[in-house]
Amino acid sequence: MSIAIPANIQISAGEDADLEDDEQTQDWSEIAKLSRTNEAIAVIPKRGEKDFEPDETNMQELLLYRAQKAMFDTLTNFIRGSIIKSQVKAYYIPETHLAYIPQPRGNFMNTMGRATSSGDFFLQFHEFVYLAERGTVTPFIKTEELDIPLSIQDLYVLFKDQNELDTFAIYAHLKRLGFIVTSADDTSYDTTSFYAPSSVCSKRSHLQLLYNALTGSLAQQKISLHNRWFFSPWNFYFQKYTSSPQLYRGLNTLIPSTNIPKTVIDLRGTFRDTVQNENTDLKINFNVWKPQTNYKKKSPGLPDYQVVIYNKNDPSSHFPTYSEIKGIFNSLDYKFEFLQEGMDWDASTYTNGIKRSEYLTSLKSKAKQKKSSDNPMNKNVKTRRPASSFSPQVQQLRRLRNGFRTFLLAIMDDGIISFVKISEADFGSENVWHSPMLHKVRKSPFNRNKKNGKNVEGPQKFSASTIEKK
Amino acid sequence: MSKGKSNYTSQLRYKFPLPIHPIDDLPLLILHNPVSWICYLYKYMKSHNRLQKRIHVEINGDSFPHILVEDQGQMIYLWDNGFFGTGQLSRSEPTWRSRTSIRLGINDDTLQNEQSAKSQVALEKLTERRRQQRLEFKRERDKSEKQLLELRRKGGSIEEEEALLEKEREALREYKANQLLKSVDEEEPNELRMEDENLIDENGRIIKLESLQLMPVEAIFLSYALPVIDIPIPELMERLCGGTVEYETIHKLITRYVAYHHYRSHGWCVRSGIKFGCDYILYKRGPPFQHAEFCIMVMDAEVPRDYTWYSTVARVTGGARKTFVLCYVQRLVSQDKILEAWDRKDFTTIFSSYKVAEVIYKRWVPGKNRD
Amino acid sequence: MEVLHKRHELEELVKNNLLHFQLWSNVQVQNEYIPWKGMELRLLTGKPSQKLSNDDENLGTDGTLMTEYILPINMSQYKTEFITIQCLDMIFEKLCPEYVKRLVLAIVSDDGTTVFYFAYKGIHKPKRN
Repeated sequence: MSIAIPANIQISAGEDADLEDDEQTQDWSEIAKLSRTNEAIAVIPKRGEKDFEPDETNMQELLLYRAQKAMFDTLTNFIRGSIIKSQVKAYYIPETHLAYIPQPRGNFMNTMGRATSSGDFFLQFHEFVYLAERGTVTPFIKTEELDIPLSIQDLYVLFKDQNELDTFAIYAHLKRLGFIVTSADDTSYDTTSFYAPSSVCSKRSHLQLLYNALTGSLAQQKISLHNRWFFSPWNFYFQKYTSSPQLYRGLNTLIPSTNIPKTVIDLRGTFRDTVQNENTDLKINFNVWKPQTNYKKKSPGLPDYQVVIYNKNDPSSHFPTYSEIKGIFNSLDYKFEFLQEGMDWDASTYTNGIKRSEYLTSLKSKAKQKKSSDNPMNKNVKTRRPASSFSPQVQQLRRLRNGFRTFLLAIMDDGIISFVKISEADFGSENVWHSPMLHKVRKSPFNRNKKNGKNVEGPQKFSASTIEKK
Repeated sequence: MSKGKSNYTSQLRYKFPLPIHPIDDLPLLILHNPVSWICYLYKYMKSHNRLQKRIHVEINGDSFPHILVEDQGQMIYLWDNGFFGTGQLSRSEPTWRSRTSIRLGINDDTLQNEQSAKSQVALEKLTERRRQQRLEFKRERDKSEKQLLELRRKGGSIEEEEALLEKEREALREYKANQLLKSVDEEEPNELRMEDENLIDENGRIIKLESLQLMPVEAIFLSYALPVIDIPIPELMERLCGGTVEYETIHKLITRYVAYHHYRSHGWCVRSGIKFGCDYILYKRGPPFQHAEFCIMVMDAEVPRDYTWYSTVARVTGGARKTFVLCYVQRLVSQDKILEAWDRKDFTTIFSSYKVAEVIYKRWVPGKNRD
Repeated sequence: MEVLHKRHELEELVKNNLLHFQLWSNVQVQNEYIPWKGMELRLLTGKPSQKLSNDDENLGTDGTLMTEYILPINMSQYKTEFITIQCLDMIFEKLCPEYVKRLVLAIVSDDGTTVFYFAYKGIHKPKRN
């Protein structure tokens, strides 16, 4: 069989099928065609089945060599750099760890960097390295006499620590895939929140909190009185249960489960951790928006995802515990995807302390803004079938499968990045029991057992006579 | 048996989701007919939910107890009413006797679940056949790869190799297509083994070899939560954990049970997740009706594991197209309080002193989530 | 001298499973054992009804399948039994003939299921799909 490019580890079949596409080896020969200097490659090896093991033939060696060469040629011969005329110079400033662009221009300005009130344009360090790697900006450092150009290697030396390097790697990974990414602690734009500004309703939310705590403990109390009875040996001597759901209701008083917010009211009633837990390094690092053309840098609205970074090989770090996960859930502020579709996000979020819809109207280019903010939402709603049109069972299954508040955990493993979606779920408030009463089998009237009216006559006996109840 | 197709038979057979049945045979209560009130009351007073005879369990083994139900009727009762236990010689439903009688061609009218055994045998035959076909296909592939290797050793050119590859690919495709056309029902007679002779008793019937085994948590449920098996809960707990205990000895069992009870009590059919490398799998109604949707891993709330552990489990469960749920069990009172209650045999206090919270863990691929 | 715990019941369970569920033949519990953490570790031997792995060229001199060596292990929801590399090395050295390159681990779970895994001596070429 022909040789595939050996840049990947073979993963056995039968894994997540929807992941397979992403894990296929890149076919460098395709990219090599774009390179101008690929005359060296006479025959471009196609992607085919992998050889299972070395067979010690020259042929295999040769094919392997060619495949490798295709990759290296592509990397070395591809023309890099920018045209002097359109070169954008970016100067690293050691004091602030930022980069300054004297003459900013280019598409990147729509989603990256920030301008001060005086009109100076700055990039955060990770933005700087990302754009320099792509050749969009040319990195320099200014000395008194002259501008010294920096190499990519130079830039990497400037990373402060492993943490910053990880952060950059994940940032760059998402950017290359087209996402719009901002640091969660970036305050250069008008931030939008799902939660009303604290000055308005802190009193109310504290009351709410108190109320929740009180009713919560009362509920707990009630549980213990009731379940003590159900689980006592005398229960079935005195109590009679006439349906399976009744039995289940007795059973499910035993184990308390965590109540989680599922609606707008729930969310606004829950306490939000705006102050990060000091015992943990885990925090929301990035806000992420899906690729879009009408992104407004000055006031982007709520992000689609929020990303937490975790370096699996850092000995001082660990996979989040439940309370850490819970802490992150409580500090999330994004377009909660589980809230009903068609939700008017502008009307239900707050920018700069006022309703976002009001904020948008107060902006000058009112008409234009409104249009661009409405369009993508409406489109999304229209293309997707509304959840409420599915049967209750399907909706329930979706709630169980998708969960509620969600964040993305980006795992860094020696340069390999993977993402995990961590979602809050609640099996405790969904009942899936089968009730024979409701799902009664259609039967002819004379197919009933006269003695006790139970359906024991069928094509076969289905309960053992020794234990059949009287 | 094929999932999702619930026919008349299985609707009847698996009518009740729990081994304790509700009193569902009360006469109709008609408001303007006082006689119906009396009938109703009389019947109501007379009925109860208890089993006439509790199911007998044997517990074997000292350090690793095996909790067994040996009576054939009781085995099937526990399976039919909530899918409790696993046949030790079966995949799940204890069908060994029926399967064996089919395999050996013996008619035995005392068998109760012959129907499901038959479909299982048929299914196993089909699986076996596919396995065989895959093996044959691989043999063919090996042959063609040997040819390729030979060509390479002889120093064939790339063009020659290309040509050979093309030819072989075509041949393999054809081979596969032909395989699919072959009918499945070519019955081969079963070979009798020496060992099979011991399986038939003097009356010509298959001996009883298989027991239904209950997970420890299933046994706790069927003793503590519902009065089904004949071992009282204090005795069962002592048998599982020993007389005097430290918190470490009972912690795992308690948290596993708390999770088990939680899912059972909301209507799930909870079965062991050993085949998927997790603690439990959840079926919506039971194995004959649907595939399991969820894989549950019971977690200590504040004890994180190495990332590799999560990603390994997620790979396996994801490969089986199931949702991976981390079920965090938090203790709400001190260890001493739990031990005190344990000494008092107050298991209700113990179990309700833990709280569950769930988190779904799913791989996220950026490329698939851009719009 | 501590008393070694015999694992008779576990061995019988695995034997029954192999004979009457997996339909193996000639399943025997070996006499020799090694002491390990207070237990007598014994292997079982037997012949499978069909090739266990597609890559197997495991045919004996008479053309039939080779005898497999099976190590039974307990597994429980709430307890653990350890098998270490050191223990497996000892088993290969003391309980198997020289030519045996792999063991079949028969893991008996307390839910009534027995699952089987291979454990190879040294590095083994991965199975081809």
